[in-house]
Amino acid sequence: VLAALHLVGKSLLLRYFCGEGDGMKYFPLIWAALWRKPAEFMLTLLSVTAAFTLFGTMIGFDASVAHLVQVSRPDILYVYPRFSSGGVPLAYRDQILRLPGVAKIGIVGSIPGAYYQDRKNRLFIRMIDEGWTEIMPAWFPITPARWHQLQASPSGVFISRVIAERFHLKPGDAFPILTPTVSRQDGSKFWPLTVIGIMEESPQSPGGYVLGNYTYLDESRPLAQRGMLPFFDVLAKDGESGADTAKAVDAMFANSSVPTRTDTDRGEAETDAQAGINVPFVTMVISGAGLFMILFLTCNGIAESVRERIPEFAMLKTLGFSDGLVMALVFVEAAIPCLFGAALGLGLAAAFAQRIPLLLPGIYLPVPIMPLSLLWLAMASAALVALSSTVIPVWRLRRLDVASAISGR
Amino acid sequence: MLRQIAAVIFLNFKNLPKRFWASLVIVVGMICVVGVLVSMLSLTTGFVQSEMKAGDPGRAIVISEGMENEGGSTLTRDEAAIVVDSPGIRKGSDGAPLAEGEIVILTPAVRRTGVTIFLLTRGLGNEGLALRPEVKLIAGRMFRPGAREVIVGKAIQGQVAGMELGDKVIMPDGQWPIVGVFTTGGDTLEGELLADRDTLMTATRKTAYSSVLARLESAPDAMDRFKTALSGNPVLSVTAERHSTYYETLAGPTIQLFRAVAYATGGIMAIGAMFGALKIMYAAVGRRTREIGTLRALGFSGLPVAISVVSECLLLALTGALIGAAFAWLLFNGSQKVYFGNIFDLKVTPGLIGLGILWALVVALLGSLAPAIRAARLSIVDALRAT
Repeated sequence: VLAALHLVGKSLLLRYFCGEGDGMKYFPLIWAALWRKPAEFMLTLLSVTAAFTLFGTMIGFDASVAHLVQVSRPDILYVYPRFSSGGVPLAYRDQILRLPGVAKIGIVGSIPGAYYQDRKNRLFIRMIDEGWTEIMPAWFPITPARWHQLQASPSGVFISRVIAERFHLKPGDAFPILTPTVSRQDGSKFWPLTVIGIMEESPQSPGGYVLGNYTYLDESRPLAQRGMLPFFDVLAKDGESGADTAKAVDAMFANSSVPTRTDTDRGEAETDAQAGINVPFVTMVISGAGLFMILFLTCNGIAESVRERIPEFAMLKTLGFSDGLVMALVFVEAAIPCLFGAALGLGLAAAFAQRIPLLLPGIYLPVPIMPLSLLWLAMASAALVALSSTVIPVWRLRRLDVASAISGR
Repeated sequence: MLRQIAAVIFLNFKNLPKRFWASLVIVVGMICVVGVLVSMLSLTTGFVQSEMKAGDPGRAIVISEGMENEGGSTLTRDEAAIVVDSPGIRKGSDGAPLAEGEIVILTPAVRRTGVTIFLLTRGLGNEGLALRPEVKLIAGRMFRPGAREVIVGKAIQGQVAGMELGDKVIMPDGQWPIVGVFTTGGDTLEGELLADRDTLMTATRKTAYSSVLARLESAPDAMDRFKTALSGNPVLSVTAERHSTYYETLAGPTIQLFRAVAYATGGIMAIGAMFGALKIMYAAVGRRTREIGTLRALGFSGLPVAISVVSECLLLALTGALIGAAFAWLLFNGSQKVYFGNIFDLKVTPGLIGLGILWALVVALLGSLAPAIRAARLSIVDALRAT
């Protein structure tokens, strides 16, 4: 294995240095230095790889959390009851719609505690109106044609592919839904829904979704519950005014019977990103600890390598190699395991990231993403580690007394 | 033999300062590994302690069937009355059962960092404090029945501004003054607000409770009898659990997540540190070749030499682990953490430090075994010729 790696590495490096023109002639020097102790070189490389696997996973996770905030919508608002009691009254709709910053408003009702067949199969069924279909196309593939189809069959529902596969359902199938307590005006707990179509998944609802008719829900509910919603979806006229519009909504209902709490989709994403672990801090500290660990290792490795080859460097200086060139040689020697290790580590991290959902079933965790900037960051960090490890040996070489060094004193 | 081992180990440790920089690599590696592992696990320990302390196994909680927590659960007054009169519940001094309905509502508040946090406001009835004797006032007074006032948990004050005695909290029907501050000795309840149940229900226009909390009889079968009575009643659609089980289930996924992250990061770092240790120990054996050759020529066998290599690595790892754990303890022990609605203190326990040390020693063992074997197998003649 070592011999094979030796060959592959040699040819790779050869190609690299050939491209650099006369850099080629220094190549054997560096190669010999690296391969002086192949086992130690490999162990250093593996250690660096581990550190960068951690680095990639951590920074990738941070990037992924930041990405979720970035793709969130500053112009979509959610209006909740400030205190989770009973919901927001439907009557607020027209008042909200009259606010200058509001473009559209949509309704999402739900069947409280709905489940299919078994109580474990709880479902949040979105019972929607036309306004919702106009706001949500970016997230849910609800077309005007599908909306008409839904309107035409009051107890019909669209289900997403995940739900269809989970419960083995196809269009035309009955989809009977039960609730733990009485949820209908007729005193029953039973909702005879029917599947009218299967839709593509939505990024907003990783576990699948069900869409039904709000009017059907409202007309079937007990009188006391009619006209109450878990929340409104509101589309602001533009993203900049979204947050102000949210404040305006809350101000309007501050002294009413049901005060509201309005947040933008962006605001919610930001809260979610910050409400748990301080992701930027934790990921930075952990990846920093990994780099610090290998910094000492490479530092020690290169220092030892230089110390053991003092006569060799003295010879190079005698031959007329400038201080700068000697420095560069030492730096490249330190940088090769760092950069290789960083690239390998990122590769491993990317492979590892794909497996995280499998390793943690049932726990939602954003999967680390590996944007190109991450690669540059890793490479820059690796180069920095290499550079810092060469400072002391290089300083020692500069002060080298050639005459005594070359005579082995 | 033992004297041989002792002699070689002693000689080796005496020479250790000569390999100071190389040795430092292992020490620093272990500081990083153990520091990260113990710090991350302090999150788990803190969270577990805060949740588990809140769940007294002598209490039972009843919520509506199919619900995971109190938040989504509703029990009508009639249902609650049946639950309270069920067998297995301890009687108070007045002969009435020690059980009653509670209500929780989510109360948004803004943290000092600007992030919204959803605190629980819990409405307690007349028996509330008898059921939860861990609640101790540390400032002000208790809320009065029928009055629109709250007391706040100590932990909230560290996170949310405007939660001091005399400040006001926005409630569904206006602002309620804070009349007291309480502690529970550090469980999750300390991150909640407490108020009078019936007043809170009026304010939120709720007519149903969220849950029923009951003090169980001391007989070991009390929980079973209580459970059987509830499940056998066709009128009720509820689940009863020991309070400890309830919190265990609730905290399970979060704990699993924290643990997975801690062990994954600690594990990857440990692998890196192991390769580092291997490299250093191979180099150390290389440097000691002549010394080892001389020892072998003097009649020392291979085993003491191998043991000296392993023990060197273990000693360095132990030093690093202790420093790493000390860092974690100094930086994080007792510091307050907010995880969504939960407020708790990070805990670096002796057990955790022990785990960190064990972790480092295993890494050191794996990182020094192969070099030790090489050292033991060195041919005496070649070793003596080494430069």
